[in-house]
Order: sequence, then structure tokens, then C-alpha cells
Amino acid sequence: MSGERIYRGAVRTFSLAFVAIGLLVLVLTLVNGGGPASVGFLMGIAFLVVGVGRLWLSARMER
Amino acid sequence: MSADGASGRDGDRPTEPREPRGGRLMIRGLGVPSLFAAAYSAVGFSIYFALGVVADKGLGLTPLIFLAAGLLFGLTTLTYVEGGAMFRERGGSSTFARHAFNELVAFIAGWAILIDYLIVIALASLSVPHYLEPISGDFARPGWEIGLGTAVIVVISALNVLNITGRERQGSLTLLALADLGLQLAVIGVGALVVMHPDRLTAELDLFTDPSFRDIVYAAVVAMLAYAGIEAASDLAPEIEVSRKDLKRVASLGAIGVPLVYAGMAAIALMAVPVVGGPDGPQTALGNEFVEEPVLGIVSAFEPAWVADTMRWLVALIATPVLIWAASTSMLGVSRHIYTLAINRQIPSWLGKLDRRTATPYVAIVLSGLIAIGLIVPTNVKLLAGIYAFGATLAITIAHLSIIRLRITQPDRRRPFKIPGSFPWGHAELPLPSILAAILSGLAFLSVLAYHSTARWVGLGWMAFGLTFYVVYRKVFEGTTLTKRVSVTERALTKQVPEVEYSNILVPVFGTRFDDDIVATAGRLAAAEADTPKGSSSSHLDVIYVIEVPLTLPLDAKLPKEREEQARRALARAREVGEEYEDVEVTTEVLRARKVGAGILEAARRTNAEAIVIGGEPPTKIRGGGVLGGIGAAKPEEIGAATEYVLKKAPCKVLLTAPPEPE
Repeated sequence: MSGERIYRGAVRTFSLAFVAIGLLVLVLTLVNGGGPASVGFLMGIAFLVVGVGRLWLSARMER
Repeated sequence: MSADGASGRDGDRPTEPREPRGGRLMIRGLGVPSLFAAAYSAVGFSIYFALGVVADKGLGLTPLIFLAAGLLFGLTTLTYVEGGAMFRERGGSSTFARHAFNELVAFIAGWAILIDYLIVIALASLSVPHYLEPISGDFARPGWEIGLGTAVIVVISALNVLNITGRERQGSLTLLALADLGLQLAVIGVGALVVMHPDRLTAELDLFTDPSFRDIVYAAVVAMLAYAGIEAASDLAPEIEVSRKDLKRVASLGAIGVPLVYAGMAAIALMAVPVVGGPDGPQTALGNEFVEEPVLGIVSAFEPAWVADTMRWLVALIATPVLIWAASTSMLGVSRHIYTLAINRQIPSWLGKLDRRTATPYVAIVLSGLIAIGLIVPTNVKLLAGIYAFGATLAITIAHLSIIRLRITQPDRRRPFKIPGSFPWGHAELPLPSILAAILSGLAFLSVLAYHSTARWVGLGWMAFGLTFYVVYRKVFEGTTLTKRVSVTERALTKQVPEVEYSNILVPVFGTRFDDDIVATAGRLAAAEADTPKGSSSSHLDVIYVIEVPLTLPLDAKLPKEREEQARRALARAREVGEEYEDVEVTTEVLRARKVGAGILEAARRTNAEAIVIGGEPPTKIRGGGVLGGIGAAKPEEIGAATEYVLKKAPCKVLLTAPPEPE
């Protein structure tokens, strides 16, 4: 497998990992009673945005 | 630039960036995956030793402190990308300052960052035995700790002297960088599942009391340690082969992603190993018991036990090679850095002396290794982090100021990457992010002076020693001013080659150990031409590798991969050596021909070469030389028949060079 393919696969995997972590942190923060201004909520959103953003960039570059 | 020669010419010669080819920034070798691997290796490792030091002062605010430091890291990344893309030289802040201000400011930045490189080597090496604790707890004991740390430094020094840096194995390094990132995300993901107690972050938090304002500022400055390696990453500038779009993509994602991952890890860390009340106020074991191995400390607190055990092994298996690689990358960085200081005559040239065979600055590497070993002996991570902050804030402030000044003094210079968010100022456009970052990093530097007495005195002592050394060296030994650039070895070169001026030289290489000597000779000749008044802009080296294809095969036949790989390696090496010479442009090409000699001549005609520099037989100690078989025993096959053919039929001058007699 070429380095480029490994890299592209890794980008997708890690982007999904960012999304998953973002969702996980968001859910756990809300379950634990955290509000929209809590660190957990903001961090969850940030992970989600970076993950989705990277996936979108990756898809756009391949088009 | 030449590494030899002892004296040179004063004068500031701005180096224009080379023109992009084929829409790429430069054809040098590092694509996006490799760039990611190299950049992440330079930045993504420091959490393994920075987290504990920051948490020690930042307590429950540590995640936010990492985000705040990440903001400065993001702004700094923009500055380094603009500077690195503009000059495409190694040296980071020192190089920017050279072009923006003068040699003295460049030296201050270069000297400040020098100690940071050494501290990173020491910290990474010192952390290795601690991250091996899952294998044996003995490794972290005082004797073992220093012994293993020293062993790491000795090994990486030896590898760097031998030029075995692993850079050619980009695939493996990319995998290691991905494993590193994967581990950090796993710590966050698993941690969120097993230790999600957000209340622990704020349980002992009393803003501006615990932690105090002073501790918050100090922690934020030390958090920059987590982004150690931005200078090393900027050293990749000359080797980048990516489009502007890719460069922006990697830089912006790195600038956002790395601080986010670090803040996430810090949040999990403070929930897993929370701040608790102590006799001296609130504290966390991350800043005490686990200060050398904070990530191991985090996962050890995971529950249930099997999760902790699994994660501990995972951390040991990944963090250890990552830290060793990071130490090696920093050693590579410091060796290049010292070499750059030496060829700019900011320190004596013997410190940047290259090994004849491997072309590595072995004196710089050995000295750096010894100093790094000295730094690990006290095993005081907090002290090293403080000193690091001194050097980093000073150098980064100079880098920002340089980029701002260059926008004023050289507004029309081509900038492959331009920091967004600029505003007009006379004829120039000033980058707002750099101005903001210069203010922040300047304040951070002042806070180190104000709040960390050891770092203040050690840092100022280091700078005073360096500046004294610099003044004496420049004034007494070099006999020049403190501010002018002295880098071109004109006198030394003209003494050796007074009448030779070639601006377009063809250099065939064969993948043998003589290639370095051949390319270095051609580089000197080309650099001499570039230095003469009539030598317009740059001279050119066309380095070729001719693959001989037998008549039984068509010229474009598929050849064994090994042959092409050998050609690629030889050309990559030749490019490295050729580009040591200032104003010498190097292009490389693999050719196929029926005979090596014919291939060389065809290339010479096609490129209108003014001269061919080719390897001759190495001298022999056996009297009678070839007559008695002395030459034949040592020469590679390509040298001989091909050389003879070229000598007879070349359409231009042929310079035969031979390596010195083996000692």
C-alpha cells in the first residue's frame, strides 16, 4: 500500500475518530448535567467541527 | 553554501526564492503524508513530558491553558509558514531575523533556540525510561533513569553522525506519527468513557487563587513546551514538495488540531488524576509523581484495571519510539542549526565541520549529545521546562517581529504563503496575527523573566555567554562587524579556483561513496561563479544518474525497482550536498542509456553544459598505482570506462575529481 493511500485512509479514520470523540464528549457532558458553556460541551463541539471539517475537505480534494 | 573555508565577504544578499515549477512550491521530496509525519514528529510528542509541568501550575485550568497556548501556537505556525515558504532556508527564527534585521539579531534568535533543541533532546530522552515502566518499574529509578536516558542520547547521536536518521523511511515514520495521534485520541476517547467526571475539573478551582494569576501565566508560557519543535518543523522548508493549497491545509489543520488534542488530553488527565487538596494547597499527582510520564499516569488511573493495563502497554509501546524519534529529530535539528550558525560565521566554523564520508556535522552532534547528557543528570523536568520557555518565547518573538518588518522592508517580495488578516500600512500590508502574536510572546518572555528566577538566571547567563562569545569571535577572530552577514567563502574559494567560472555544470553520480566529493567539487565551482560580479543570480548543477539498459531490452523497459531506488537515493543525496552551496540551483534526473558514457554526453549536449565534473579513480598508496593493481582494487566499475569515454568525446570541458587518499 502506498504512503499516499495510507495517509488518505488515516485522514478519514482520524476524522471519524474526532467526530466520535466529539459526540461522546457532548453526550457524556449533557448526561452529567453540563450546560452549553461547560468545557465538555465546547470541547465536544470543537472535536466535532474539526472532524467534520476535515472529512469535508478530504472529500472536496478528491473530487 | 560552503562549509569549509575560513573567511569570506561581508554583505547582505537577499536570496530570492526559486521559481515554482509545475505549480508546486518546490520539487524537493516531502509530500503531504511525509510532511504530516515529519511535522507531527516535531510537534506531537511533547505532550508526553509537557502535560505534567503545565498541570503542576495550571491545576484545573490546564485544558484551557493548553487552548490559550494553542492560540499562540496557531499564530506562530502562520508566521513560520510565511517565513519558511518565503526563504526556503533552514534556521527558522534565526533565518527570518537575518533577512529582516541583521546578523546580531539572527544570532540572538539562533542562540536562544539552540538551548531549546538541547532541552527537548534531554526531556525526550529522560522520559523514555519512565514510559518503559510497564515493562519494568526499575527503569524509572534514579540510576537507571540517567543511564537509559544517556543511552538514548548516545544512540541518537551515533545515528545522526552516521546519517541514519530514518528520513528515507517515510512510510514507517508516517505510520509512527499516525500511531502517536491514534494513541492520543484513544486516551481521550477511552478516558471519556471511563473517567468522565467533569466536576473534578472545577472541584479545587478558585480562579486567581488556586491557581494564582502568576501560576496561570507561568503555566501558559510553559505550555508552549507542548508545541516544542515548531523550529524543527520549519527546518523542513527546503524539503517541502507540496502545493500552496496543501501547505495551507496541513498548517491550518495542525494549528487547530494539535491544541485541541492536547486540551482534550489535559481535560481527561485532570479527571483521571484530579487536583486534590494538599498541605501546600491544591495539587495533582501529574505535577509530582507522574511529572516525567504524565500520559502513563493518566491511563494508570483508568478503570477497570484491565483497561488501565491495556492502555499502559499501548502507551509504552507507542510513546517510547515516538520519544526516541523526537529526540533524534531534535538532534537532527540542532546539528543543522549549529551548521547554519557556523556557515554564517556566527560561531567558529570547526563547530559545523562535516564528516568527510557522511557529510554530517559530527562535531556539533557530539557536543550537543554531551550537553544534553549534562542536562538530564539533575533529572529536573520543571527546571528544564522553565529554561525552555525562556528560549522559545525570545526566539518566537523575534520570528514574529521579523515577519512584520519584512512586510515593510520587502513588501514586493514573492510570498508563496501569506498570513491572512493583513491591513494596509503605507506601501506595506502588516499581518495582524503576527502583531498580536509578537505582543503575546513578548509578554510571555517578560513573564518568564519576572516569574521564574532559575529560568531567568540560567537563560540570561546562556545568552550572555553566547553574546560574549559572538562578539569576541566576530571582532577578534573574524575581524568583522557584529551585524553584517559573512557567509560566502570567496577568499578561500578564489585561492583554490581563481580562473574557473562555470554556471552550468553537469555532474554524473553513480551511487558510490565518491559522489559526495564529486558533487562538492562541482558545488564549489558553481558557487564561485555565482559569487563573481558577472555571475548573475544562481549557478546550476545538473546532477544525473545514468541507468545502463542492455540492448536486449527496450530503453523504456521496466527495470528492477532496486535500480531505480538506488538512482533515486543517489540523486537525493547529491541534491543535499549540492544545495549546501549558496546560490547554486540543483536539478536531478535519472537517464537511461545503452552506455553510461553515452548517456552523460547526451545530457551534456542537451543541457548545454559548460563543464562535466566526473569522478576519477581514487588515489592509492601502492606505488605504481594502476600498473600494480592499486587503483583497480578500489574503483567502482562505472569509473573507468565511462570516464574514459567522456574524456575522449565530451563537447565541453571535463573536470576529473578524485577523493583524497584514504588515511
